[in-house]
Amino acid sequence: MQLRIVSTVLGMLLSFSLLAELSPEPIPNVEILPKDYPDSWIFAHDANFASLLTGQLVILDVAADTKEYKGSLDASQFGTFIQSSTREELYVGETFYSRGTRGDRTDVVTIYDKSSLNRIGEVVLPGEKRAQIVVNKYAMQLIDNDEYLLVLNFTPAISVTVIDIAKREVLNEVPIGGCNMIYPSGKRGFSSLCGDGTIMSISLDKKGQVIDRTRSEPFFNADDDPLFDKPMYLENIAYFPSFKGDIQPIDMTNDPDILPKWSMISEEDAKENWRPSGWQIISASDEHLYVLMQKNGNWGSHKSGGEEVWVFDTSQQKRIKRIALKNPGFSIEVTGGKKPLLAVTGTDMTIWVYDLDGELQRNIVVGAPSAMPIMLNAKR
Amino acid sequence: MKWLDNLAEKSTRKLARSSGRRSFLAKLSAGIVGGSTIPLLPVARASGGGNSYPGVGSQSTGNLEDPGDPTSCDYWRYCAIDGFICACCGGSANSCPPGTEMSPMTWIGTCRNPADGKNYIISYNDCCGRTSCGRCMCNRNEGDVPVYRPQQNNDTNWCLGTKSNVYNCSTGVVLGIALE
Amino acid sequence: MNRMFQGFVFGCIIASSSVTNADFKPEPIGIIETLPEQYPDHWIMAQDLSFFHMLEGAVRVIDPSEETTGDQYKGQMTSSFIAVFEHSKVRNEHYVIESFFSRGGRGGKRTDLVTIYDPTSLSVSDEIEIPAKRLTGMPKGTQAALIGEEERFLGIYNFTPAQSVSIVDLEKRVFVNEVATEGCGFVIPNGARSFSSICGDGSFLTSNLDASGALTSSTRTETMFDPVGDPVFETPIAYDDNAYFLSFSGKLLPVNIGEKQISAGDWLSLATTEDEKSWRPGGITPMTSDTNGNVYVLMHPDGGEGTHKNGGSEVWVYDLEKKKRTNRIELKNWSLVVGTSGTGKNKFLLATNTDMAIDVYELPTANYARTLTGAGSTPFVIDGLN
Repeated sequence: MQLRIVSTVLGMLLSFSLLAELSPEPIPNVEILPKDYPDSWIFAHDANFASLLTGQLVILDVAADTKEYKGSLDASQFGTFIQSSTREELYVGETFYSRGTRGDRTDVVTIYDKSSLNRIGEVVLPGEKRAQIVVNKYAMQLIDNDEYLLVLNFTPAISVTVIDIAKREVLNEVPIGGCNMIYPSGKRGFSSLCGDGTIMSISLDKKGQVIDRTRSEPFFNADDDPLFDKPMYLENIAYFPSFKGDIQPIDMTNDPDILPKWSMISEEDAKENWRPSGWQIISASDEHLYVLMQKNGNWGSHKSGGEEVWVFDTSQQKRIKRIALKNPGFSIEVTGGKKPLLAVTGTDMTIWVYDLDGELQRNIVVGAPSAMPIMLNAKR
Repeated sequence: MKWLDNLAEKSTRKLARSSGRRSFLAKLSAGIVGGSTIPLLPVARASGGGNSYPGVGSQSTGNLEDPGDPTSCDYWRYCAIDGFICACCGGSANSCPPGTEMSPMTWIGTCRNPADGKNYIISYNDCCGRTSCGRCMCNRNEGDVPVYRPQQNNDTNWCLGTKSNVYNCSTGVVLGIALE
Repeated sequence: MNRMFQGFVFGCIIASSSVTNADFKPEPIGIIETLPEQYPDHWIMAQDLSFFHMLEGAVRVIDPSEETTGDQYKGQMTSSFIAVFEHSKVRNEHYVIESFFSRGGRGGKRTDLVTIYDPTSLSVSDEIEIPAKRLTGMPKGTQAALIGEEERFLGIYNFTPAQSVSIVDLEKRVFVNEVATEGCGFVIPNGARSFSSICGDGSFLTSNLDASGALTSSTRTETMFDPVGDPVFETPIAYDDNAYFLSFSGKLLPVNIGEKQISAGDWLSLATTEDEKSWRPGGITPMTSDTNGNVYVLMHPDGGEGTHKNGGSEVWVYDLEKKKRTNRIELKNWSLVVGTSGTGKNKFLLATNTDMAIDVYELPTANYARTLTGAGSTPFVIDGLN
């Protein structure tokens, strides 16, 4: 039957005039991407809350006014995503049920080739415990020159699955009770923030076994002024904003070294109750932190989004610029390279692109009307 | 969108367009354009009038013999398309987005190329193996016949004979000129 | 695992001091609502094909007579990958004919199922695996049908593009047979244990089954309509032993399918004046009927080539008893889908408008009553269970 249709089409082709101005075009014909993406490309992670089974990552060129949409990857059921910086690979942590929304559960890390976007491997995760959490970069991370992939579990017992990504092999599961998320630290390890205001740090050997486990003294108060759980790394320092507007830098070179915190809020700003707010609220370019800020913030407004992006110099610990957004922002990301751009997911769930002087460049719609691209990943 | 509306309103063959219908266009990212707009717009399309989808960059084929914007629902090849336009999704008018698979068989339409005034056979191959693209929903039905004539019907998911049957977007591939 | 989670939640509650307010008694956890065994006949089943996210469609149970979304919304069944919904009155069961992929949007192994839901609990009571080849696409009422008066068999149209019908025995809960229908498609039930399919040349193919669901004989008619000049929509209205097909130009063709030998009657015109002939039927689901033999057709003015899915601004009513067009209903909003529900006092005409909300009109007055907004992103099929 398949053959019959093909031969019908062929028959039609043969009866066409040979004087066609437009030549017949090949079937099939599928695009491929460059192995090394330009700096202006980002992965917009559509959490797709209205249909969690069909979350996706959309590859966008935020510097482009035409052909800005490059391709997509599926990311099912609270998917997680990270790019390898050493291999031409992309990783998606995802969950499937044999009957869509019910039936047997399978958790996997799907491995894609960066250029073809074809699936080239899959690691099945044991235990049906992959954390189901609204898109968060620190629910899946690469460590040790991207040799090991760490995946967060939540049942609600919290642990981290360690994968040798070259061998596509699960090595170990490390319980981190009382603490959560994966912040790369040390030579081959990670740290997690704990509910009691401390940070726990785990070091692993080459087989993924725990060789050291440390815990800091309390250094923040999760009741009074919690740290946001999505920091920005500059070199080995993770910058955690706090709800009330402090920056808590932690040096992750070895065991976490809690550096002195500093405030983003001047006395004048405090009068207007400026606070950081949104989903992915912090990004960076060179030595500068970009933070999404909200006026008239209050307790509980930390996920509302903000109307300005403030730029801070990390060495002077001082604000050097304010960017007023045309539309309120919910998440931000700054791209790398020579001409960095500020990509902002608006509260309207479309992408607004600015240059670093704050000039609006363009607006990009990611997908269906219900798309929620709330996590933007610059090229790593 | 405005230019398209204006042209449509000037037309003697104008479509019935209630405000509700316009709002549907906006809702589904400018979804359905009536077939009767097609013969009206050769000049506008040749000069590239942009698409009617907010947040989608317009494109040009760069070929005078193939005039129009491949991200626009009124691009001449799309006279019987139904679905998300691949040119908005990482593919082009005749190619699939990376990582997808093009269906080897599909339905066939006949569209008039305003550049040469000739009717071309267009093959609307679906791209498969990713969830719905969601951008540039477009449905036009010139020559569309119900599903009991599958080869002339655009309601069917043509992700058949592919590794995955999951539908992502639709292309419009030129097969050749139709005999008059 | 569950117990562990409950313990976790419980721990949280104890640790929080806000639970000491004496005015509120702790409320039990785990209450799940149920629906009546027989739904009121004005309730509707709204099928959200979820065009933008096809793996997560839903069939929602809605009471269109209520004023608030909370009161309207009764429950839902998920329906995967542009699924088909059927209900058996005889068996009092819901059927969702759906497809699953082992790796979701990317694909993987495909499994097609008839998932059986208990109407009271809306929980899955059983599932029957069928060949993974059912037609997927925009909804057509004839993609599947219950066959025979006892509704023992369910026929499901396959397209690979080879055309066939899968026969499922609902009594034994098994797939029994695949009937080839080459050149023809869809399942229009007729007679005691047979069904007809529409063929690409405008004829009909009837397949007769034995008591086990196996094919015993088949017959094919002459051409009965012109599939090129004036095609008919795929889904007819069944009334008085006839299937009434609607043509693109706005005429009804009665086809007698109650007998072994299928025969067509005379064409009936929806238009009553010369001026009305420029009006054309159109939509995603352009035609429905009620239990009194009234046909409701979504119509648009200035119709022509390619406008047959455009929807319409009016619904025209044709009375099959009187054999005449009896009413033109001006819709509040341009609509793409029509349906009806109810028999008595609560009787409604429903129309999915271009915002994908459902406008409710009271019958027989056709007065606009309200708009339902909780039916999902693309409710392309809306009908009562009658």
